[in-house]
Amino acid sequence: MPDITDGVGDGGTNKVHDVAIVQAMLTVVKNAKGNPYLTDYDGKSGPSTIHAITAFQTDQGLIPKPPPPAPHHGAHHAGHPAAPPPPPPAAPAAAGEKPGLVAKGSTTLAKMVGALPADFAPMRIIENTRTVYFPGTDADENASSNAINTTGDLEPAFRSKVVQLVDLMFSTHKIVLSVTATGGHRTFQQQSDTIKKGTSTKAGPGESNHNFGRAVDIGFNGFQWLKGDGAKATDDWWLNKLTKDGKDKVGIARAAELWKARDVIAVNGTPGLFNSILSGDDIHLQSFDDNLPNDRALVDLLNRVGSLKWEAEHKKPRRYNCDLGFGGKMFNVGTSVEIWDLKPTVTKKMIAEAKTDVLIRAAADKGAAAVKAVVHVKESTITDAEVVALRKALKDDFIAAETNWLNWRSVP
Amino acid sequence: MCGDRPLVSRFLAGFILLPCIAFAAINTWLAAQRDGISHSVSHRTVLSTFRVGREPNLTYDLSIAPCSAAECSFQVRLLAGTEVVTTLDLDWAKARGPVTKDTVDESSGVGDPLQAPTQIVAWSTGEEKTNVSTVARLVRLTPGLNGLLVDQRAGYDVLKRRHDLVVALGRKLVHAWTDAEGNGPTWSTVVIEDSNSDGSQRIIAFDGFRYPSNDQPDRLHYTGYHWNPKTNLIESLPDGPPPLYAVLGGTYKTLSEARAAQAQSSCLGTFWVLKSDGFFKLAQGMFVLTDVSTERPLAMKKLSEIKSCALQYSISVVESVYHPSE
Repeated sequence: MPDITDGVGDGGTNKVHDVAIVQAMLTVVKNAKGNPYLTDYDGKSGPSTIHAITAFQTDQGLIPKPPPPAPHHGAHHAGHPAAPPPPPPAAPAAAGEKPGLVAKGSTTLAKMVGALPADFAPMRIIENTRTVYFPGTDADENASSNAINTTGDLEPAFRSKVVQLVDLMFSTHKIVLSVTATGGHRTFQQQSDTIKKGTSTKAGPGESNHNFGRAVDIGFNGFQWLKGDGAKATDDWWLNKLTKDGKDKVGIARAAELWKARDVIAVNGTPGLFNSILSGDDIHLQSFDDNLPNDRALVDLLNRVGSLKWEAEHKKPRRYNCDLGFGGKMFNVGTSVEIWDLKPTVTKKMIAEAKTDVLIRAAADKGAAAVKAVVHVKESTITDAEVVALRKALKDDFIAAETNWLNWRSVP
Repeated sequence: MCGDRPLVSRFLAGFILLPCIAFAAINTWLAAQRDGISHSVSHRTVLSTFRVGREPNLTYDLSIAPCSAAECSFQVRLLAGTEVVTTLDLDWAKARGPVTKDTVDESSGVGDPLQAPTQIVAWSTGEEKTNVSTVARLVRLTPGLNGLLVDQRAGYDVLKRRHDLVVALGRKLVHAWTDAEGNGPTWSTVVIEDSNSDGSQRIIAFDGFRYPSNDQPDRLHYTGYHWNPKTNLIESLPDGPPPLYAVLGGTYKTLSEARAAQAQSSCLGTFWVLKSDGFFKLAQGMFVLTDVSTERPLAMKKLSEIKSCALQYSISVVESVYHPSE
């Protein structure tokens, strides 16, 4: 049932969420002519809002009918752009109701709530936001929570936190959060496919926050909110309807308030999740600080679960150095996409150099003369099969990293 | 080597240090010239400089403001000669670390959807998730007035783009237009097009949303803007945006058929799945696989590229106004 924390209208405290929900009710409730008292809501109380409240009170017999309004050319707010300010009442208000004011616990508020159609009666709002919405259902919350809980591809501790977020968001605000279709664990192959599409990511296989079950895109799919015309809208995960596909400044600001409300629970609350540092990526949450580089974490995992030695080369695009399994000199073998596609930079010359390096290191213990005597391995002695096998070995390490995704950890 | 030399006496120190400082300064200057970046004494990094218009003395520059903190603002300055008239910070994304030259690619949000310009330089700062790639372009708003269009791409795991048009009106810098991507699998790019015989240009802004689930078509919008010298405002083109060239990878009765075709093709994966209703020249109530361009040659080039791998699809290029229903 809609409620307010403080007075709205003439002489009210006019907190944004209180004003918005009173205005919202006045966009839904109709007068005797079948017209709503307001045609929009914005959380700002002005002459139009006060006039609408007064009109509602008058129609409900809560205050005496005022005399005809005098012409006025003042500022306008939500709804009735040409509405005049509330005129002074002709007689003292009845039943303690002040004209133009909806006080907490007042008869005006009770009448307004009572006038709502049954399917609009559950409308509610979050403190310091301007979007009036309708509670999600227990069934939807259970479905979302269960879907996350039963998925095996999120790291267990992180998964628990995400479920906790879903549960807390519902118990606190009756909003059902859910993970987008591609917003959970992404395989290395899916990551490879995504980067090849060219425009949405620069992260290759093993370089995404989503490759190791510690990140989700979790949003508002199915969220029902009240439009300015008093009708319900059902939104998608990204609140595209509210933001009008990201084109409406007011809608964008309203959506930002809702993301913030989610993060009050997700980030500042018990789950203690981390959000994205990127502007426009509110939907993303993860288990670790987003400032940490992913290539170092990938190399850390490769070195723990793979058979080769790896280093991250901090250049763009991200490339990797590898010892090719010879335990010495490191060679730049390419990007993670190239490695995953079995097209890394592995040449006969590199293998010959790596093998020579092994001989030199073995000779080093015996002195400079021994090192000098080392016969360098010739490129011509390296076979095509060795090159192919090494390329596969590089990918095998990536496969090992993917297989051992639970062992991934963020690295400063 | 200069820095390692011990100081024997004050005289000797001065004798040695001064040439060292001069040598270092010249080296820094030479390095900056090589990189195309100019560093002022205030450690400001100037990325690009452009003329404002007819007045040769007046210039825009895009720079990274000097700062001691880890994050620095990208800043547009209006200069009269060497005097800074006014500045405007672009704070959507901050610069971190040194600046390097970067290439413009299809993710930059610069130029035609089917071909990113190769001649333009991007400036890159930050690593991975703090990476920001910035491009500055001149737009001839009128024969006598240029605007500075700044395109930025931020992020790594997820990429987001923003486009800002800054215009010098008298001695002021005005943030004339902006377009930023919101949440989700978004994309945007801005094309600068010659529009009039007087040499003025317009901007065509594309933005799209690739739905990750199969129950919704993608969303693609494009809007044309021009400068109205009477109002000194950027405004939508009065007749709507110009027609675009759609490379079609087939028309489908249902969304699921279109998505299935997209998934099965190796070369249509980047195509948009759109309702056909937006294209005035196509049968309505259908779904199309399409990629779009502002230039016919680019669309034809794309068509020839996909021919070999999309034999089973009915591919073509259609010139059409595109206006998706809300």
